[in-house]
Amino acid sequence: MVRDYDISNNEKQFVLAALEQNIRLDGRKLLQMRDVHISVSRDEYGYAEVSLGKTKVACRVTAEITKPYEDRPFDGIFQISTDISPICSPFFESGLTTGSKQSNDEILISRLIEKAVRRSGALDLESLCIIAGSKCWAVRADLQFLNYDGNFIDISSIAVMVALLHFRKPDMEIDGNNVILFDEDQRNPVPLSILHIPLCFTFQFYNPNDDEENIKGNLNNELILLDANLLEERLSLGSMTLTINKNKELCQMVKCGGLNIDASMIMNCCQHASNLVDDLTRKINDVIKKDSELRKNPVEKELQVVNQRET
Amino acid sequence: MSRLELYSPEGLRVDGRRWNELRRFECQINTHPNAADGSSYVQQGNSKVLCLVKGPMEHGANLAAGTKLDPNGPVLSLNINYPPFASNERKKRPKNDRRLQEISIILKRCFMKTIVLKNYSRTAIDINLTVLAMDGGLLACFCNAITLALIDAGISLYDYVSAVSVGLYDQTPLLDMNALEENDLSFVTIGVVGDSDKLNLTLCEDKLPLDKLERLISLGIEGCHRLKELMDLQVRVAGGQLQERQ
Amino acid sequence: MSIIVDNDPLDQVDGSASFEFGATKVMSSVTGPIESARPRNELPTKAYLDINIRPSSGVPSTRETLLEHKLGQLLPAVINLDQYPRQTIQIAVQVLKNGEPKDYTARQLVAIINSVFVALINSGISLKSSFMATCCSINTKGEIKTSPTSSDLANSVSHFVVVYSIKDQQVDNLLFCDGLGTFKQKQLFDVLDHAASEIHLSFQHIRQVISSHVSHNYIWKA
Repeated sequence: MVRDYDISNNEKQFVLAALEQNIRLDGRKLLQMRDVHISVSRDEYGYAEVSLGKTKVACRVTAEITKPYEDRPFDGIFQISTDISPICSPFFESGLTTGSKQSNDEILISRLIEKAVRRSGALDLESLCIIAGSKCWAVRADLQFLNYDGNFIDISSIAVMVALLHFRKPDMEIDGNNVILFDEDQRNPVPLSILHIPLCFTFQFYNPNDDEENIKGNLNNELILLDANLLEERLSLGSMTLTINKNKELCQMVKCGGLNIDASMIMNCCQHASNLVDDLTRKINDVIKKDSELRKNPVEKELQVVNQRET
Repeated sequence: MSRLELYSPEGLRVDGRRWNELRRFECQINTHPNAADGSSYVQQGNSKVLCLVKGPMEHGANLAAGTKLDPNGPVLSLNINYPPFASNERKKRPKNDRRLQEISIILKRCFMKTIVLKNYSRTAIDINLTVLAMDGGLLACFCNAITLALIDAGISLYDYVSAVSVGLYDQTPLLDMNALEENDLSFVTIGVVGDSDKLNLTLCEDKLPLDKLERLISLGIEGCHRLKELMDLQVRVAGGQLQERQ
Repeated sequence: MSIIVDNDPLDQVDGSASFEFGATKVMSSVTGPIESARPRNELPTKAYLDINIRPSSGVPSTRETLLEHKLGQLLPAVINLDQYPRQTIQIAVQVLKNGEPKDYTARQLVAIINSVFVALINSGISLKSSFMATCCSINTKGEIKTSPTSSDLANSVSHFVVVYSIKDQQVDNLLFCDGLGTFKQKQLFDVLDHAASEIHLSFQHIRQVISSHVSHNYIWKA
């Protein structure tokens, strides 16, 4: 089974030697992200395609009315599905046996995204409750990984958040125990209540020395890379994912083993990520704003103009 | 809803500790000399964890069929046994609990950097963890127990990996959280190699203000160093006993 | 009715294409011929087709299995499977925009078949002929409408998915025809004629997209 992405020794040494001189093959600086490109669907709600360099992910958000979980009658349901289909790369085979490296990556990716978005409370679950204990909204975000060139985690967090911000659920009214849903042309659909925008930043670590120096030595000259591409990701000796929102709250910090990194260097990473988060949040908000302006129908615009004159 | 006072104005926590105090830490090694190559028992407050290590060997019992042995180092397999009686709410865990799966991947990757890989090419090492009682600090207990069991099994490590959880109550960092504190406060688990300031693993799942992180990490590192001393003491005691017997 | 084809948007696979018409969008990828992952998929005389269709939201259900089955019936007729004995050709399809209610599969099947065709071309897998799909619906008045929208489908008496093979830029054989609803024999023949002329037109467009892609790839040759 030739399912792994094999890298020849020459290529490996070349990339690592370049990194040691602070050179990346795509011309970026070590702590520079690739350009994020976000596009949202014009004709429907809750669909976003995000690309980061060649990595590409689509996310679709849907909602339906169901019964809430019995132990949480006042909360709605929010699910994120992150199945990696073989479309993005043949070594993510569907239904891999557990224990192999790829399926480990898959578990980590889905857990990290889940924790970044769901556990950090990005979506206000209580606002999804319709009638306590009997009816609530179940929101579902389906991530579709299209092209794999490293760094699925960061791009997924962007895609899920954009799709959630872009989504509108139909407006409704409660009549006793019945819920009346309104069509798009009857009443404007309402956005979800998003409390904050958590964004992930994944750092990769490389060791220019041997293992012993890394553990015992005082050099602390491990290399740190942000937003690695596939080749760099495969060669990395350890990674750390930070999830931060623009209020400078750390929602998640996961460094699962790998190279040992000095605490001060980790603090530097946090600082760097918190500088990046503002720009990225602004970019996401711009896209959403632009989209909602395009959507305003002419009648509504006219009404708004009238309102503005009155005030 | 009346909330438990987790940190009193006098500076005492629910179990009477100060902010920078560890829970009572007890550990033993070679607890199951006949059942495994290496074994350990770690008790951090009311959290109790057993760890058995088998290996290095040519065939791993836990390995999925068809897994190939690696010429560059051992294949670690990790099995976590978390019975329903171990935690406060008695509930059965599904077999593929995502959280435990994630923890086992984290631990695996952590120890792959700590074991001297070149000594164990084409071998398998099985690690079995059993939780007897859990009162906070799951990942930290696992990490400490595995370190001790690997030492007992005679597997060469570069250094100890000691781990501890640190939480934040308002402005005060709290060392080594118990389950009550973990439920209400956000915390970060930190794993440190030996006496260095280098972090091998960090895991934080809840919201923390970024500017407090540095204090948490530095308190955590201190706690880890203390734990490492305690573990080292126990290893030396056990080693002394072993020498006397011979 | 506009068709948007994106040629080879993915670079981890051997061939890929996205096909968008109206509100439906599908992305397909072809990897192969590769070694079979499981020994039981190794057929001694021909290649094994591993088809995997994923819905735009939710987990794959019987609906996706049905689509996989239909695609699996069609493809052996057009791929030279016996050129790749003991190998696997992996075809992964991701539906990005449904464009029709859950009860219908017509629009998606058309988009899937057409995107798989372009992806197969890009992957360099040997094909017996070109092929293309289209769909039509017949409304209560008996009028035939090609590429019906979701409201057209909801108001129709019957709808069809038709696939023709194409030889020398001319519509050749009928490869696949799937009709649902009530219709008369004459209507069926009308639909087939209608579909043939429709395919003839849109194939010109696809051919142009492919040829410009190929000429771009072989720019060094000029």
